[in-house]
Amino acid sequence: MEHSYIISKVKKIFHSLFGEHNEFNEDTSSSDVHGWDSLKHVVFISKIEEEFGFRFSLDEMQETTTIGDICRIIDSKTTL
Amino acid sequence: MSFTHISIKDLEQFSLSLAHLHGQNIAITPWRAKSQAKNPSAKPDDTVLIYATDEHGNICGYIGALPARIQGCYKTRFAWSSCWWVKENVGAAISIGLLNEILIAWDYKIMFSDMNESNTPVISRFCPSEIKKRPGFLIWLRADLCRKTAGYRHKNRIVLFFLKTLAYTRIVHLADLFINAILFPLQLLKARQLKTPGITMSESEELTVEDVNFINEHKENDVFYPDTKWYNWVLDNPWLVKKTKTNKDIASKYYFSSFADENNLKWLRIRKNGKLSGLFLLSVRNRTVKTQFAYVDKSNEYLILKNLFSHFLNKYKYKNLISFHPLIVAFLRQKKLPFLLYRRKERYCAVSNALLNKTGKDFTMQDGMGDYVFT
Repeated sequence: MEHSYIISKVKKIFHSLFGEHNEFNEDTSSSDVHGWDSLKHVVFISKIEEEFGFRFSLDEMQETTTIGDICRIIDSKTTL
Repeated sequence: MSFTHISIKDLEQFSLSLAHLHGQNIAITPWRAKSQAKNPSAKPDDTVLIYATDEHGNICGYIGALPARIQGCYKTRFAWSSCWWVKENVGAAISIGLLNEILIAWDYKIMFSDMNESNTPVISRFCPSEIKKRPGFLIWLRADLCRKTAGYRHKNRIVLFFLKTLAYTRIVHLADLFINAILFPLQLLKARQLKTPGITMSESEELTVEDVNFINEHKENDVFYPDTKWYNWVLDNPWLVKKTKTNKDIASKYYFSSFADENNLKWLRIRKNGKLSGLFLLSVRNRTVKTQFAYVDKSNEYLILKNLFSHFLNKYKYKNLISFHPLIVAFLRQKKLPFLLYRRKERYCAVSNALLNKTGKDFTMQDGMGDYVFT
């Protein structure tokens, strides 16, 4: 799956959860975004799972701390 | 990041250990631990607390489990999810990790009695469950602004200082008196209208044999219902105590409630022509009354509820009412009563799929289930 496609979809979900005013780039992490707490993190991941049609493992959920981490996992899960 | 499991047999000792009490955050107060250690449904090796520590050994998150048995299916033990806290900005790994650890410790035999809209999707993601919404009300029965302003939390320190100063001035007391001087006579009038001939009401702390039989008759599909053993444990081992110099410092490191000036449990019995027709376990904490458990003879339902509210209208010392009981909520939706403020609330409850074959999908829950009855 094209990286730019992944980014655009993740960005859309990110902004719908955390607001358009929050900066989005691959280095953005939960500590940069007000309201991105652990509960919101799971909601965020769940929406991504729904969008891309796969499930994060528990370890993957725990290890993702930045947008870049999330996109890398999506890439690995969706690349044939 | 590491997770440590604490069992019932070690809980009290853990709560009193210097290492625990001297930390920045504590995972349980000693009096809560003492209470939980006496849980009649718990076994010594039950995991009842899991905490996470950071690289410096400080507690940065914890989750509790309250062992219980499914009533009517006494061999089936499970745990209520209880007290899930994570330090701000530590990340999702700890939060998710704690939930995962407690689920595994209890083999997914977990029930949730007090979820909200934000944590419901998280729980259902990790613990496939049957989730139900429980609408309810928070009602300001009458004015209690001095207590509300004194207890109000605000991030802005200037606003907080202003509110706390206001709470201790005569202005707020006078406002309460003035509002209640107008409201209470109206409430007494309404209470007289609602009160029905042939109905008597009484309150006591004791749970009698008659009460237990009544509960058994009217429990419907409740996953849990009080019996004498459980009730005596809750009554004699409170989680909220009076503040002292010693326990104040300990409790300042604990996120959840630790104190209450007033924290009582009482059974309210409503009899029609001498026959028990309504039984309510009410908790009163700092003038807020909660309907922990409610059992009603369906053939006299409306009558019982009318008289229940006559009782609330008459009791000046009750300032707030919180209830999620479907009968009470339905009654409040139909009947407008002279209370100061109605606020709709929502709770969610869930039974994990691992337990559904014992409870059935049409299970019901009451407000006092889980740890709610303690707080």
